[in-house]
Amino acid sequence: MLVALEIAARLFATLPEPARNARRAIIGVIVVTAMLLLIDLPTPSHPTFAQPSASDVVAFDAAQRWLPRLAYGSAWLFAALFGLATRAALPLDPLHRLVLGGFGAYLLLYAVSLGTLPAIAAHARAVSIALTATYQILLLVWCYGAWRQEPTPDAPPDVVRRLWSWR
Amino acid sequence: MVVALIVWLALAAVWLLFLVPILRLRRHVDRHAWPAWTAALNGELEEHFAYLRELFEGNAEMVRDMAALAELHQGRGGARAARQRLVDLFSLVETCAGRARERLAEWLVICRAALALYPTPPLPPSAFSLRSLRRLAWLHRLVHATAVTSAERFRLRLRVLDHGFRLLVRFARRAGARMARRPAADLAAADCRDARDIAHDFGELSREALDTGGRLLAVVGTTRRSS
Repeated sequence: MLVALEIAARLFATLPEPARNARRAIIGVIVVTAMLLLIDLPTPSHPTFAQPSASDVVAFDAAQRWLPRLAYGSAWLFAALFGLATRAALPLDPLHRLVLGGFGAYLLLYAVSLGTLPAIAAHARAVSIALTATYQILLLVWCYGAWRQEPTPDAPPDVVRRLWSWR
Repeated sequence: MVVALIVWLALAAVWLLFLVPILRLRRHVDRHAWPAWTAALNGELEEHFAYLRELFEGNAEMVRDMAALAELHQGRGGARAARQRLVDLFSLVETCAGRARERLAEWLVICRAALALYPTPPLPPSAFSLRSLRRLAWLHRLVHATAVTSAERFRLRLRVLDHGFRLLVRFARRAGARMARRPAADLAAADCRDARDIAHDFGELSREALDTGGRLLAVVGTTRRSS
């Protein structure tokens, strides 16, 4: 979530109207995510816990109840930022585009995997390996995006500086 | 367990569906963003707008002249010549409307650079001759009342104008196809009436588009000076 907030701060730093809309959307997503965390939805018990200890219950609650919802909320935050930048017709820095799209998609995958853990318990190990591998690939893509020679935008330097103030 | 699976898959689908229209819009933004922001922030907007004024007014005049010429030929009994002028007119409207729509797409980007926008009125339905454009203007009037901020109303007006040009092109194509179905030496009075309506509405849409562009220029200039 902090990554999304930092990107939002950079993207809308010099544009008052889109910044106002972004603030509203971010607060909305955070409030809805917080409500999702507080609501006590029935969570199916894990089939492998016959006699769960207290620490098992805490770990299970975190993995099964809170983490997927938090990850889903964060995925929405990334999607909302991508949508707001597009609605405001802002050109996106290639690295920001990779982070917004990649992180959002990964968090969605993560949330769905954790949320459906009881249903796919038989394949839990394979899912865990797949998630780790996905994250490693995502890191490689970000490294490539950060280090590669980017094409210069087709605009005067002062316009680029105004819209991409971090450059 | 199955319920949880279905719920999470549905949530994932909602997220993905949210992104589909955004990705489509993103392609459009990527194409127009840098030239439009450059015009908005770099002081080229005045020259750009002066050129656009000539372009819009010149195009509207050309279309009007072409329609008048076709009527003149028809009045003198030169059906073939009149028909040729109408074919030229329909193709000219298509080209000019395409250019106008590109400019409107750029203004849609530029208006994001403005701190605030002056209030814009909805399109007047009585100004248009074609029924589809009159309907669009009425719809615009209704939706205009539901928009909250001036910026929203401004963007709505740009989108309505864009759709208006699209409707005009569609009508011109249909009129051309109707004319092509008849023998080469035959020209109905309805063809000339369609051409006159198209030329009139093209002029009205161009005038409204220029008016919108002028309002945008005023506020973007103010925003630039204040920043």
